[in-house]
Amino acid sequence: MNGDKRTGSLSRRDFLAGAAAAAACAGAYLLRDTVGPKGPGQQGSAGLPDFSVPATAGRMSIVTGADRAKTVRRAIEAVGGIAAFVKPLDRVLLKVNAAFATPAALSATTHPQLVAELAGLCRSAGASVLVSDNPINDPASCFTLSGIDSAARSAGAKVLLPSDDQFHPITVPGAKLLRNWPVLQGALARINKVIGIAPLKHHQHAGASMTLKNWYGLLGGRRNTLHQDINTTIAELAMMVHPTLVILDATTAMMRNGPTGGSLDDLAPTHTMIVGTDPVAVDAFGSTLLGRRPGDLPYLAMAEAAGCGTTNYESLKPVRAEAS
Amino acid sequence: MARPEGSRGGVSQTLIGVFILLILAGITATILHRQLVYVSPRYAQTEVGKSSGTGNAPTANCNSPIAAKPRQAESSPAAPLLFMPPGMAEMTPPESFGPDGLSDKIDGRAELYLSAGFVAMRCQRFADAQDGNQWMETFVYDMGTPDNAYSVFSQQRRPDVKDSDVAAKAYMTQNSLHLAHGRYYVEIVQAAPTPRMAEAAVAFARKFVAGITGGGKKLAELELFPPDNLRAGSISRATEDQFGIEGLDNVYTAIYVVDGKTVTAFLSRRKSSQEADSLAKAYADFFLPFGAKVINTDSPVGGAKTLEIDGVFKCVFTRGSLLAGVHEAPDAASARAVAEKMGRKLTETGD
Repeated sequence: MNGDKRTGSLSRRDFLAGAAAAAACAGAYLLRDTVGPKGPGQQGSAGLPDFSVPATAGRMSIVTGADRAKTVRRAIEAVGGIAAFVKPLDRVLLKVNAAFATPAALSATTHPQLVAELAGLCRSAGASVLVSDNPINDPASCFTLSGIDSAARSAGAKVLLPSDDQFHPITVPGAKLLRNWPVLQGALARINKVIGIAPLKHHQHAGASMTLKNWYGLLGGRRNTLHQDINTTIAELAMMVHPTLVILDATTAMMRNGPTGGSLDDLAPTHTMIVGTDPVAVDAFGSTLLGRRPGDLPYLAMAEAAGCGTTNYESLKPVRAEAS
Repeated sequence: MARPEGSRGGVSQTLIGVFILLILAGITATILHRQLVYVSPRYAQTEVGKSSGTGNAPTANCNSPIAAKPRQAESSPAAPLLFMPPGMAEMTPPESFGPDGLSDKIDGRAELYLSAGFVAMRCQRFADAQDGNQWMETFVYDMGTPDNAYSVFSQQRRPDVKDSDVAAKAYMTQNSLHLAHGRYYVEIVQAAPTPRMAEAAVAFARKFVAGITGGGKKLAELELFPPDNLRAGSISRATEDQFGIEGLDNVYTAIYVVDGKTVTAFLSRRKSSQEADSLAKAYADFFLPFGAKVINTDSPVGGAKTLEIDGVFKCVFTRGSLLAGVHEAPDAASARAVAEKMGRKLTETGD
């Protein structure tokens, strides 16, 4: 009987080998890559890569008209055409504002018509397109009820809803608040062009929500704590993202009770589309459509001081046109 | 009893031991992974309502864009589900937010509510039971007191809207219905303005008003503004630092139109007459460094002080614990006219 027990027992050596194997498995699990290969130039925790196209610096257009598809096409044409920004085989992120689970008619989110138009333009230039945002409300509801999900997919773009493993901390060089802060890097993996598309809205706390505030949707963490210093936060978002292009949709502007609104009575038909490579300039002009001056929004001056653009948008000699 | 030399446990004991060690290794790995991976804050919404009972309300038709999952009903007396109108169905599950999580739902608008004493908010979407594409979202804000509820109601009131008869303080826009009732501020937002959804919004509002007892009590301050020449729906309440003056909270303002000129009057109930007097002095003193001049004229109201700054006229006075006056008038005559009316009204009411 003793001999049988010895045969079935585990020696100390066997036990240590088993424990080492278990530890190796656990270690491999902990060290696994949850993001995948990084995009060109991605710098890990030291900020995001620069997505701008140097040859297009300082371009801006302001196009009036009520038809989003027409105005955005005309506005992009006025700054050099989509081919100046997007090349064949590029991988483009359309960073939309899908913050709220509300219908497009309330203008609290990026209009689906604009998403479809941009996705179509980028694809026609030979690029693949990803649409993403980290909404305030439940992501699936936001993308569905805003109409962004169906618009993006119908135009051949992919939609990425944020999940926990897509957030990784970065530190924006020179920032006070956005240090070691979780950012939706999963949406930026393998991306080499970023286009921000934001609606023009009043914002109860920041004064206005435009293309710079739109980058807030790349943040994770307890980002509502950033509202304690909203101006510094938005200025640091300007430092964090150097986009390929930004589009401010002021076809319908939310004039009060933003950023959520809720009533059609909060909206005004401002019938303007602004496109540019300088988000500070684009937002500076956008503020005027809300009945404000750029100087009324402290974050614009702070972003300008940080070298992210100019509030003197006229100095860029924006192309003005009408699309009827 | 001595154990025989070389004695070992059985095979089963060994396997169980290895199995336990592997489980422990797995648990350790899981804990480490959970700690290392960021958890999004949207999963950390503050739950303010405890569920009880079993919900048996219908869910929206399958053509709804997003469907509610079966869940337990809320026990709060202000849970939107309690006021769901006939013919409607739950479209999404109820949500609830406390002060820490309110911005997770309404982002930057949260500041307005938080500064006005916000306690909790419950919201839920309902869709037409037969046509899930017709839906509305209902928000019930518990503001703690009727004063606070009126603050957020009045500060967000849309211009040129018509009052609704669903409550004493209610109005409708093209696609939404807003009301203040008791300690609650309610918003009902239709996804698209249709007669069916407008009817459902009114039905929800009526059920809410009927279901919340004691909500119809009038706010005393609203009755203190003289009604002549008062612009309808213009009385608003600010909760903090009104006119940029530190400590000047709980201020009601109202718009009067006198001979075509717009005049802003104000009123604030203080804790004592001493505090009212002190704030009246602080009000006048606040504008002096900016170039305001005291106007030496017959006082429109006993003890009133009249100021002029850059062509804008102001007047401030007290009646007991009430601080009152005119904040903006385009000329001395209209400032005087409104101040006199207010003084008379406050004297008549004996407040």
